[in-house]
Amino acid sequence: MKATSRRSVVLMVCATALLATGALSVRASTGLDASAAPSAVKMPDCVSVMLTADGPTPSLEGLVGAASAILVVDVLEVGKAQWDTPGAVRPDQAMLRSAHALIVRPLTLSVKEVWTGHVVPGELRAYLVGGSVGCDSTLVASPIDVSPGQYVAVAVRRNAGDSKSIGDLAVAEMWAVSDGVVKTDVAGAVPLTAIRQTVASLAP
Amino acid sequence: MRRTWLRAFATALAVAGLTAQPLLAWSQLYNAYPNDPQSCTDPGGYCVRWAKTSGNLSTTHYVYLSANLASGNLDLRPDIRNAIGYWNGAPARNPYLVETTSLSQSDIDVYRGDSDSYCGQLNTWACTAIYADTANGSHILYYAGQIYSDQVTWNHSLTYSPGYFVADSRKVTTHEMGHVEALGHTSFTAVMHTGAESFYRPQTNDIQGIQAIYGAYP
Repeated sequence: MKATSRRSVVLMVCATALLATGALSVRASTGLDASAAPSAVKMPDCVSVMLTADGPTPSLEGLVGAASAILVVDVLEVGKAQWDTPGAVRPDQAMLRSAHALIVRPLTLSVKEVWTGHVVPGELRAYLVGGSVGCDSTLVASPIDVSPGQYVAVAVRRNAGDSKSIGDLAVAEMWAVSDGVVKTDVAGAVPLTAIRQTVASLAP
Repeated sequence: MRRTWLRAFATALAVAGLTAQPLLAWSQLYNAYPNDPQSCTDPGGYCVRWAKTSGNLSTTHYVYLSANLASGNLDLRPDIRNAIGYWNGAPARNPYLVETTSLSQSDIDVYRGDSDSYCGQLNTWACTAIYADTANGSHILYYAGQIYSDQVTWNHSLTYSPGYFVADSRKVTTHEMGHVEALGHTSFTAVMHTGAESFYRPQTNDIQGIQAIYGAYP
C-alpha cells in the first residue's frame, strides 16, 4: 500500500471514530434538536414543578426547633389537589415565577393534642405540597401519603411570607400513630407517651 | 489483505463509538421522582434536561442572582459564581451558564428562599425547583430556581459539619447547580452525593453524568 493511501485509510478510521463517538452519539443520547427550543420562556401547555430537597433527615431537636407546631390530629379531609394561587387559578408565567406557585393538597385536621406551638384546639387547615391538576403537576422527592380517618402526629411550619389561598401552614413531617406507637423516620417506632415527653422537653 | 483488516478495524471502532458507555455507573443519572410516570427511572419515561445545550457556545443559559443571596451571615453569590465556572468548565455539552442582571432575560433564577413555599418542608438545607414543559410528549427543562433555607447557617468550612443547622455553602452550591444541570443524586463519590463529601467541585462521576445526558465536548 502506498503511503498516501495508508494515510487516507488512517484518516478515514479517525474520522469515522470521531463521527461515531461525537456527533452521532450526542444526537442519540439527547434525542433533542438544540435549535428547536426557543430562548424565550413561555407558559407551556402542561407544566411540572419538581422540587429537589437536600439535607439530612432532621433530628427530633431540629424538628422541634424549626416547626411552628407539633400536634396529634385526626385527618378529617384531604382536599383535591389545587394550585395555591388566589382562587386556585392556574398561574401564568409571571405568577409561576414570582409567587412560586405550586400544586398542593389542602387538609382539614381535627386537633387532639398540642405538643408544641400555639394552635387553637378544633379544626385546623394545613396543606401538603405535591399533586396534579389536569396535566400540571408538582412533584416532591419524598411525598407524604395521607388519607381521611388517619390518626397522625404532624409537624407544621408557618410560612409567614406566603399569602396562599390554602392558608400558611405547610406540613413538614407526618407520622402515623397506631396502637399508641408513633412511626417516625428519625427514631423508628416510638411510644406516643415517650415522644410526647421528648418533644415537650425540647420545646423552647 | 491489509486494507480489509483496516476496514474491519474502522468498522469496529465506529460500532464501539456508537455503543460506548461511561466507565462508571451512577445510581441515579437524572432528577427522578417516585411515582412520576415521566421519570427516567420508569421504562419509556422522559428525562429532564436542557433542550439547548452548549454544542454551540453562542447558545447560553442566563443566570440571575438575587440580591437577597447577600443577606444574612454570608454572601452566597461568589460560591454560586464559582459553581457556574466549575460546571461550565466540564468537558460536556451541558448548559453554558452566563450571569445576567436582567430578571426578564434569565433562564435560571437563584435566590434565598427563607420561609418560601418551595422549601417549606423542614428537612431541607437547600432545594432546587425545576419547571419542565411536559406538553407534546417532550420534557424540556426551561427554568429553575435555587433556594436556601433559613434553617441553615452557611459558612465556608470545608469540614462538613455534623450539625443540622450548619452547611458548607460551596459544596451545597455546586450540588444544587448540578440539579439545575439536570443531575440527580448518586451514591457514588460525586458532588451529587447526598451525604458528606470533602470537596465542592464536580467529580468524575458528575462529569460522566452530564456527558451521558448531553454528550462529551470534543
